[in-house]
Amino acid sequence: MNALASFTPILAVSVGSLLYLVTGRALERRHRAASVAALLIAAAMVLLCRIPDSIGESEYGFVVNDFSRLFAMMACLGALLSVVSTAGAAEREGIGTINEYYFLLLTSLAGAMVMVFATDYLSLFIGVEVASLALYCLCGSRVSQRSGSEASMKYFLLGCFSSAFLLLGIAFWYGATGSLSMVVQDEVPYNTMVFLSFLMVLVGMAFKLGLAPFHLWVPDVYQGAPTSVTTFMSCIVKVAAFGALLKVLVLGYVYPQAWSMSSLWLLAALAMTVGNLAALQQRSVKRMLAYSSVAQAGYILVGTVATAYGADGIVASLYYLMSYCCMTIGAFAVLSAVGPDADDIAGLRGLAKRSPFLAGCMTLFFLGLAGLPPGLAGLMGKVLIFSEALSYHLYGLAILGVLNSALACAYYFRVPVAMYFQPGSSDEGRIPVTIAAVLAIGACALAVVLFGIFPEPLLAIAGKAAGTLVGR
Amino acid sequence: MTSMVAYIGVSLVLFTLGAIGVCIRRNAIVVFMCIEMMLNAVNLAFVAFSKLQGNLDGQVAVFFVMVIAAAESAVGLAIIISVFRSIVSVETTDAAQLKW
Repeated sequence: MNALASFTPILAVSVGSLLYLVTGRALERRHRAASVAALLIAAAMVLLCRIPDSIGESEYGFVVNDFSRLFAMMACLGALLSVVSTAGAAEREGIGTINEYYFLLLTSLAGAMVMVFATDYLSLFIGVEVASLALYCLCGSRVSQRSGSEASMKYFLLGCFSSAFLLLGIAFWYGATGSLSMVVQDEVPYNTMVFLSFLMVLVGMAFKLGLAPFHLWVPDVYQGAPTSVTTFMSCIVKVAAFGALLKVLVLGYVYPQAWSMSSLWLLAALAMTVGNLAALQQRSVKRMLAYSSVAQAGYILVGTVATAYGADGIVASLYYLMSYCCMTIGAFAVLSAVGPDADDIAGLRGLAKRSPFLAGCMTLFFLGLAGLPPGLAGLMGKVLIFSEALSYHLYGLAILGVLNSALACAYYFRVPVAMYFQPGSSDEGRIPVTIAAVLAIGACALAVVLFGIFPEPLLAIAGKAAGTLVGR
Repeated sequence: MTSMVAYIGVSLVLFTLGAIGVCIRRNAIVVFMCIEMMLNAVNLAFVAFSKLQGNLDGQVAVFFVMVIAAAESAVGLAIIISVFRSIVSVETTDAAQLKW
């Protein structure tokens, strides 16, 4: 019975999502579908707090501890914020099948939670697939729109391709150790098979995280998918894939090895540079944010490279991930509130007059992403990450990171400038914003500022989580 | 042991062929078939490693992979049909509305 307890948060979401399939049209009226989704996610969060830690290695391939609980919590919070902020947006965006939309969204969240709880490669792979298959469908949920189905096809083909690499990596790991568990009792022999396994798993995970050079799907999917879906996936995918990657690195391929270090180093450097350079040239805000997410994933990975020397790197990465999630959810939620087709940067001109609240919050999120005050959480995260890199003598990465942050300001400023200093076409009136959206966007904005001023509680939580992961 | 090398070798050859196919073919359905071939190549590797290691974990993994491949094809073919409806083609080169 105790074994089942650790599954309850996932069960709450996945079994709850079946409600949408059996109730028919009763749920479709007046935000009812969104409220039920928010309730189910909230229930999962309560259960997450209440389930006991697993004792030792669980034979079910599932481990509940501070680390997995924190990541599951982040995934749930991100999902909750995006569901609340985009309540009603799905209808506006012309997604005809609201029930299926929320069903897929909750399924994908359940898959993400499986990913962060799994300590067994088979569970991990199933989690990855459940989360991704639902997301492929979500991207194409505007059936009538050409860009949506196109994005969903590209995501699907590249996603399955990378899953095959992940699976080959798992097969090699099994061949080398004789077990599908990430945690092996005896010393892992370092031979070609383990090396190949590491590379393959890393490729699979780097694809899910959207790290350059495996980022080609990111801009197309972020732009082609409905904005409400982008809001959801921008956080969930990063959190789940990053949690899984950290676990694989620390538990499985026991750090540090020269080759694992240098491959991560290369990925981080490429992701930062490629992401920022490509983002400079974008006219579409969603595409710009997509390339910026590639670069941000690179910053997060810098902390992970530093992990080789201790838990402090993980703490910095975790803090950055948490603040990044608040900023990206907020930014996409604002875009979604502005309108279903607010994509081109010209569409945001004069937003400060049409809706001062949205414009103010958007500016805060963009300043946070750039790492400037008053978006202090972003600044704090960058300082933490780069000081970790410096203290472990990763000078190259730190310098590259700081240069990239400076470069990134060039495009992050473009959106606030368009909103405040360029006149919009005069016939557009004020933008109606739902109370739910105000609440969720306001919460994100508050978090971005407060996380920066009072980082201690977050750092304490992150420190505890990192300690459990490394200490095992 | 030599036979084991043969199994793994065949599996790797199949996997590489699949990967090359994904990179050079432009028809979405053919690309998808190549991906399925890669998954099945991994299945072969799992079974061979299972024999080598003397436990059944690998063979169990194959069942899971088969189920997931089936789910993937259900979703994937539906997506490809929805693309075909909007652009009347399944060539990946024609699906080029989103770029740079």
